Amino acid sequence: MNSQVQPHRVRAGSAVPRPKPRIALLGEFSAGKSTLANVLLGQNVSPVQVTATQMPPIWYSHGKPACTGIRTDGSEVPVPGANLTSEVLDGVRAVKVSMETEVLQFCDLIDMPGTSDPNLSMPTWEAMLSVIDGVIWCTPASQAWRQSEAALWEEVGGDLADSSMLLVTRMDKIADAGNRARILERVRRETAGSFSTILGISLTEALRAGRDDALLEACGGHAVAQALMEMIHRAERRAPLRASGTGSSQ
Amino acid sequence: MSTDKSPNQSEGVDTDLIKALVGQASQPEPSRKPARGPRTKTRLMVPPNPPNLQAQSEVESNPPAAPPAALVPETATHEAAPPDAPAPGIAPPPAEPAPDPGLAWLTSMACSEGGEARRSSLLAQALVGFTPLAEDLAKLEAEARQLAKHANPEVAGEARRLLLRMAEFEPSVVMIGQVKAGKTSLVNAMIGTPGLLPADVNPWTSVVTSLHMMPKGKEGAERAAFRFFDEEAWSNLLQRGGRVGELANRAGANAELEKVRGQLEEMRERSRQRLGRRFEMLMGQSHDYEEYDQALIERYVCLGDDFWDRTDTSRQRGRFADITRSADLWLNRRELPMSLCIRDTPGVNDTFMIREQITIGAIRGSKLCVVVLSAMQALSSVDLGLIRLISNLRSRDIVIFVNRIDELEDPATSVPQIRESIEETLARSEVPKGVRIIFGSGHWAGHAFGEDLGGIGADSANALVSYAAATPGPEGETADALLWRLSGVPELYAVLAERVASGAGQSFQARIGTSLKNLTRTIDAMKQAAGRQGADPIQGLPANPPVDVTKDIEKLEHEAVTSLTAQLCDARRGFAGRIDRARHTFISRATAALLDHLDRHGETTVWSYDPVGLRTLLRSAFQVHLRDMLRIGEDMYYRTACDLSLILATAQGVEAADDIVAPPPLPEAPPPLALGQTIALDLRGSWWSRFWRRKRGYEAYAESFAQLIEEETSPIIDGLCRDTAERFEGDIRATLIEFVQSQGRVLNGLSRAASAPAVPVGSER
Ligand SMILES: Nc1nc2c(ncn2[C@@H]2O[C@H](COP(=O)(O)OP(=O)(O)OP(=O)(O)O)[C@@H](O)[C@H]2O)c(=O)[nH]1
Ligand SMILES: Nc1nc2c(ncn2[C@@H]2O[C@H](COP(=O)(O)OP(=O)(O)O)[C@@H](O)[C@H]2O)c(=O)[nH]1
Ligand SMILES: [Mg+2]
Ligand SMILES: [Mg+2]
Repeated sequence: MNSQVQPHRVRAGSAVPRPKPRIALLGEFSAGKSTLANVLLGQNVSPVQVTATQMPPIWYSHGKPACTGIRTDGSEVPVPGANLTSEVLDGVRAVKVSMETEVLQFCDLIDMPGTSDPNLSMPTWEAMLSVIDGVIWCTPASQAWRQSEAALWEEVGGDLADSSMLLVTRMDKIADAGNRARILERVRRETAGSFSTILGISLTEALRAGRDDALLEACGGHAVAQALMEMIHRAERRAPLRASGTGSSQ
Repeated sequence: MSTDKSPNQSEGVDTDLIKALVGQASQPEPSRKPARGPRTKTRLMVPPNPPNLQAQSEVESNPPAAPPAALVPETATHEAAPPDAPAPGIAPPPAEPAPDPGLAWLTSMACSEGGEARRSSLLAQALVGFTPLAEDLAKLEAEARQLAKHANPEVAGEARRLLLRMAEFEPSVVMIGQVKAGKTSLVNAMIGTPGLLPADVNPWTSVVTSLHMMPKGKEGAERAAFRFFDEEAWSNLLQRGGRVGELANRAGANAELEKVRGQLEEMRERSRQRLGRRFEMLMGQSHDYEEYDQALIERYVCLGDDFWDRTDTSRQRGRFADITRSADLWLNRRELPMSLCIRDTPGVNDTFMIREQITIGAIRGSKLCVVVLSAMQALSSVDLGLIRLISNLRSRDIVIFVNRIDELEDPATSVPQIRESIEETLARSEVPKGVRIIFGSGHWAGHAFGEDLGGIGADSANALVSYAAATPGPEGETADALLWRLSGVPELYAVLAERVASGAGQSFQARIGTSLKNLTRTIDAMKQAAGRQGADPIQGLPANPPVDVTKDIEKLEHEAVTSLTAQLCDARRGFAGRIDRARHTFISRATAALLDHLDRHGETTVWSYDPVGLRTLLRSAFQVHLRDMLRIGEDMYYRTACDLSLILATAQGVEAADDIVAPPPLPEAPPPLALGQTIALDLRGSWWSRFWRRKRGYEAYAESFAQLIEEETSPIIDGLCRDTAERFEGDIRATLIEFVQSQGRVLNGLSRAASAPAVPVGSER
């Protein structure tokens, strides 16, 4: 596997380059961001665990399979087999993964570290957030949309509202359909206007569903896929409106 | 970097961009708010038409038709698969692979008979831990009862006073945690009545609800009382901001108080409109009921966020919840060996932040707290903030209950991982060591009482099977007993019993014990004196010359209190001095670090300094003061006891002995909650960095820094002095006065009886 991506080399024969919106998966730790990434990618690349995953942002984009860790000083660490374990990632502040997976033809996905983790340092989080075009914010159904989320989104959401989706995960844990609807209803009321779409999903069921259409429909996967594409569309439309240049970091 | 690099973007993101972001982030940047400058973007090109869901894929490996979410995971398992086979060591499920193996297994297990008998036996089993303390208390009570029959009215009266205090003794446990952690469901299970307090999937509890459990022998009417807010209580809600948000470094924490104020005003306005004239009438009032049920409770303690917008049909729910300040329910629990109060609270971290303020108010008056976490997200920064707020209670007074383990796919594997992660995080924080962590599920506990154990649900039953295998129970355990044990409620009760016994129980016992002992000793001494003169004062035969010790007692009381007050005053001055020195030490250390930072990095990078040092200094100053106060109190109590012994001996002409009367135990020191308050340095986020950016010039930094510390520490120090130290001084004094006066009453009573039995109590001769 080509573990070192040469960013400046123009690939021969590559099609006319297309800008891809960068969609960040945000939310508190254990909300299901990495599970969602895996659902979207169709592969288990993002590490998933029941406690806070101390993982740097993982930036997925389309390309020949490769996985590279990037340290603070800019040096690169190859990650063979995209095996993202803490030993491999010592000192790594961000991970870049290229895959030839369908969804990545439409957008880049960034699986972000979870907020509200007492051991999280925010700087990488903030820096990454400054370059993204759309957000899927994951919130668990059983404790959906608490003050720590609402206040953070109020700070960082800003102009992203129309290309952002609130995804209420773990819907499988709410047994009663009426209750599922009531949770969505409350969250809609409370977030009015700060997300373009609000949907519920069971990510574990989406993972298990594979390509089974009926199952995907039932767990909410289809609706999410649809909404994601619409979101990408909106993000692309608004992209030119934004200020240009990567040089704003100085 | 420039936008010209964009052609590379078609294949993967520009690695340089990530490098730039990572590098940028590596500079100290305490603010969580991203630079609001122009967003960086590597290319500026109008995108072609967006791909639709049916977009043709150019990648062979992925068939095109499916939308992204439809992609099949290529590597198979995620975490542990749900157990579909029974774990070793427990009864196997039916041989046929059932669709829901966990449920099949559970329903195949033997189950004890349902109904009241099961409920009673499960509760009794969980509550046995309270028995030793209950027995000790019963012994004291028997003793007091005996004395209450004493012929002498003063002695009997004193004993009755003690009996009353024993009847009122009711240790309490407050359950706190984030909104929807499952507190109410857990409380319902703990009291053995799932469904009594209303629970919901949306934020619901809005009032601190005290459940007073009346044990066997102390049964009474099961009633309810709901008290409404008045102006003062409402404004207190704002004043005593415990600042969980700041301690948790929650986004927007600095503006929270304003927000709460806004929410409160809005709520009151809407309540006023809704209730019209009744609003003013209800203020400060209470509603009392002879009986209650869930619907009634719901009217007072549950508030949904759509409450004011609802149409009238559903208005009964939460009818008064927006103006109810507290709810008290009394229930008989014969299974409980002694009285106990459990408090359910509104959750913290709800967007309706008034709930949080209410809960913080409840913590203040509570010594024993159970912090309920959700296993799904155990110990978030908000949980930690809450724990830090109460961590100035001694560690034995905090118990962590990790609820909802039934929602874990594989609790057997996950529980140890979660435990380790919580322990690591706690070890890294300022929280005292030794906080007990218990895992369980209010959901399981609630179902243990029911007829249909399968009601826990299929996933939950699978989790149960996995967990049962990892934590084997006794031979022949029935399904309901298994559910109850794994729910963690029995373990929680066992820990609570232990802490009540060693905490509130122990000090209460000591206090009552000493009072009883002094009462008997005084009687004995009088008997002895009378006996020497051939008469029994208790029988009321005249023996001694008339004695009235009132004057002596009054004089003693006056002298003792004056001396105590003077000594405490000295101690307080010493404390103030130490606090001042602590503050200065910290300021000079921190200022030195600040100047050093400025020398090295200039003023463009933000500096941060850990405030732990300041807290440590303040804490140790406070502890020295506490020790001083305790020593002064102890010394004074002892001297007073000697003096009382002497008065008794002199009055009765018995041999002078120092130790007839024993000194009372010292009152318990209130916890220094103020130390948990945030100071600006804690706010690595917005507040502090704004302070930093506002300032210009080195001297300005140093100077305003010192001023900042001065200002920021003042509320903490005020809190320590007023709420904690002065309250404790008051307690020490009150105990002394009560001690002298009760001794005086008994002494006078007995000696009057001894000298003039025929004369009615109270008249002089
Ligand atoms: N699976 C599972 N569900 C639970 C558990 N505890 C509570 N629930 C459910 O979670 C929801 C919230 O429970 P509550 O008891 O109302 O939670 P709370 O902490 O009191 O919530 P607030 O009072 O609104 O802060 C309800 O639907 C409960 O049935 C548990 O241990 N396991
Ligand atoms: N039942 C259920 N579990 C979920 C769901 N989404 C995530 N999880 C579980 O929640 C835990 C944390 O998920 P993860 O994706 O690592 O969260 P992250 O920290 O946001 O990346 C894992 O144990 C997941 O299996 C869901 O929709 N339903
Ligand atoms: Mg993750
Ligand atoms: Mg509740």
